[in-house]
Amino acid sequence: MNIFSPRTFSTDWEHFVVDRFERCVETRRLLGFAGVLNTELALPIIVDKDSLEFPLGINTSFDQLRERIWRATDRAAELLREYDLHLHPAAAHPVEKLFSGAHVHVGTRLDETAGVRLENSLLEYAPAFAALAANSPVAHGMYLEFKSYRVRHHALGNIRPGMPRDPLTAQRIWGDDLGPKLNITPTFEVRIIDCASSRQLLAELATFTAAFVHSRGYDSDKEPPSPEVYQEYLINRWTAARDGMQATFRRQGKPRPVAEIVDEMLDNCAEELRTLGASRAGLPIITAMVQKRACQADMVIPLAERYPDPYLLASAYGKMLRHWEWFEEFLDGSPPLEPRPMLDDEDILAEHLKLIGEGTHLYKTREAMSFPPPAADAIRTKLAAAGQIAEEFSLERGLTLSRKVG
Amino acid sequence: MEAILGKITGVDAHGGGRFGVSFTPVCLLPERGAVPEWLRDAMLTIEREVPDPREIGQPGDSFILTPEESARWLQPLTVLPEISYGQMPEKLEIRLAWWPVDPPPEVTVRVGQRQVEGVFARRDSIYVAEVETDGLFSPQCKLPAAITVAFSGLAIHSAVLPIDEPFVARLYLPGREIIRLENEWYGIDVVRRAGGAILSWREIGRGIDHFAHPANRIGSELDMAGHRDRLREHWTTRERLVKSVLRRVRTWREAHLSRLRMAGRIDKTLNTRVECSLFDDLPMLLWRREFEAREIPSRKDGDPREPIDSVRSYGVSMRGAWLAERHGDSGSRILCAFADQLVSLRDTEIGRRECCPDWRVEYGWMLVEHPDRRACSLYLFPPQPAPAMIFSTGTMNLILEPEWPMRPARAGDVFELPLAISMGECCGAAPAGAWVGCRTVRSDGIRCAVIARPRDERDGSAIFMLGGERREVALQRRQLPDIGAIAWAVADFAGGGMDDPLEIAVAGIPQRRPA
Repeated sequence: MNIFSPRTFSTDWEHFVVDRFERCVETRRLLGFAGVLNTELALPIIVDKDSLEFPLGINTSFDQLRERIWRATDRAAELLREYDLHLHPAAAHPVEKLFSGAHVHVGTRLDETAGVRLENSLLEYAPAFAALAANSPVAHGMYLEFKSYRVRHHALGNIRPGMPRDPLTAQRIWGDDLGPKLNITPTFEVRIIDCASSRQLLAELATFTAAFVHSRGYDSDKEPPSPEVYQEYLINRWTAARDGMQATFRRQGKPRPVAEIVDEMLDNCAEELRTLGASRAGLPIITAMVQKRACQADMVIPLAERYPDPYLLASAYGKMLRHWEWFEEFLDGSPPLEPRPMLDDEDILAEHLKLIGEGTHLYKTREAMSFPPPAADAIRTKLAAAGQIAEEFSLERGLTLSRKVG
Repeated sequence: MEAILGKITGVDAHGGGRFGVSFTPVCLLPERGAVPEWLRDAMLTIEREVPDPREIGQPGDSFILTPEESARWLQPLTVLPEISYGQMPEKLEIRLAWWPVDPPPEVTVRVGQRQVEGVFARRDSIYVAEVETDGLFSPQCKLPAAITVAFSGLAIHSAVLPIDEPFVARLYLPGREIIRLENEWYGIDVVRRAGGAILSWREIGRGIDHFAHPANRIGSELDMAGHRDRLREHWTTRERLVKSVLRRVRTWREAHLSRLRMAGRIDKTLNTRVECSLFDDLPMLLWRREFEAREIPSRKDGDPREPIDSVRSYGVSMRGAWLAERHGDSGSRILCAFADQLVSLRDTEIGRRECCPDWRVEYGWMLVEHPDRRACSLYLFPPQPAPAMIFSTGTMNLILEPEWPMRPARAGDVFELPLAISMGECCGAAPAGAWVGCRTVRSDGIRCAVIARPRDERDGSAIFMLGGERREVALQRRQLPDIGAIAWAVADFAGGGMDDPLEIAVAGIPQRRPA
């Protein structure tokens, strides 16, 4: 039996708001706008961490969500224009230290025990959603090494890698890539998704995410993932953040392009898409993204390459973001991209080694791919055995690592 | 560097992806401060090449220029020569890149009470005035001296500086006011803003600026590179000092020192003062920061008060920032000694602030090394109380910001941070101490020097090798107030050049080798 009934879904879409000094408007000034929109649109629009957040109500169909996205953003843009303000729908800002997402809430589900089990079974798919939604190739002080700095840097603590959990010992947690969220609404939340810059993409992404989660609502009796599967989830999450839709994931040690995985996921939730009034053919943007292995970050990269100064980039980027069809235009005109090779064991070692300078605290190496202690220790042991790092210990500083030259 | 943010008034297609953008200047990034007087109500035009005109925007939208694009409007007035050495230039060429009124008013060139006028004439896209300097200087005029070029509320200097002679001078250069202290080793530019800070540290021999800033990048220059002090009043460092401009400035020369004192009020409860002394004969700057606590006003007259009501906790810290090298194994790093070990610190993640409150930097020195560009900075400070080591990796820079312990302060209490700073091209570091070495060109050859802080205070020597010659020179000691003992040595080479490898070892501490 599927744990979702009735089938509902929504998204909490976060937007920065920018003025004509190119400043991100802060919470205390945004609250009034949220209040007006909340009243006029009958949607629970709020302010969260200096962004205007659009929770788009309880939806039962693609068309309903799509209509709400358009109505909410048209009215918000109109209201903000009266104050010379603009929405800035991007997952990161080149100057400000801010990230924003488009969390998808999938309902309706009251059984938290089943929700925790579903969380375990869906962990391996979270990186595919991250790859599809990647839209932060530039963030405060960071340029073009990753396609989603938001996922790479866990949205400054607002998302984090999930952990396999046993319902018998589970406490309420907040902020994981995905998981049940019963404290407010009876939904299963997918938080890993970057803020979308395209309204049409957001409608498709939320519907696809909901349909896929619904399709896994029969899996709630599955065992938690093994340590090996969990580690692959962490590697794939990092790869998704770096490569977006060009990523090649590891599945049982074998390469699997994320475009193929998303393609398969779309096939596997065809029935659930129909329940939400959608179909693969009705998701043209996602279909094109799969075919071209492109994501929104690929649209931003050429712009960032032409504007190395973050202030100039923020200005040009903000103006392009006012055009909701920018991504669709980009997809139409862009050639297919090649998949990047799967991360092998040497690559994983190298990515950990990159974080080691001189006197780097042991714990910092965990930030590479968020490996749990045994896996992280194994990496450290391999690097030390290969003569690539030296270790030092003192009571005051703990265990520190230094890269060896050569 | 600052740049103009404007409001678009019109966009014209010029063909080939090029667009003429008309705009009015609105504010200056990054602080979004007011534009200069001469740009108010101005209508400016610039051309941009973009593949998609939507990137530019439309009338009413903001429009950001690069610092290079902004320069002709923010610093329209320039003078050639900006700096001359030894004697006054016979002629000044004054350039005006832009002015709202055509023709622009006359320009005045002034030295003391004497002045001459110049008339601008159009030359290509700018205005130029040529002014003879005959009669502006008296033959007895002492250097350094400044020729003031004044124009419609703008004033800049053409500075005349002495040759082969240390000096301290206050200079108004296009876009910035500096106080320059110079000896044969360094030209150091100090600014009054940020509560008094070091903006530039040019090593004269090699011509490199240790506090070089990234070109054409919007941002606070001192945040990116330079030295400034910080004031801690809470868990985190408050930036009250950053917003302070020191009003009182005095410069003077005294026995073997160029000296600068700047003072000002941070607010009603706090005064600050900074003193700089640059030795004539050594590559070392003394930098002393003082804060003086003032009375905290009562909220209401007659309110009962306990002693604690007049007390605040203050702490001092410093912030040195350098453009970072990040090349895997050979990046910029910080060196210091801890528990008889040499500790090397180099982070690789941007935006992370490394703080270890239990870890006190002992022995009164810290060294910052950039191996690829052969640049080293040695900070010397009182061994006690020892600061906590804090450093971070910024978007493009390495930041060293040790913190000294906080303490309570009442009205009249003074707390201070004395530092000695030396920079050069090579260094050595070991648990037994650290040193920095540099060289400069003289008329009779090359002079090399080291500044060292060896723990061993017994006699020792410095060995210099340049151009196949070797000199062993006894270390000399000097007791610096509050900072403690330092050692130094100087060696002169008639042969050798600035391009020859320089090898130094000091008190048995060898030179570090780039990876």
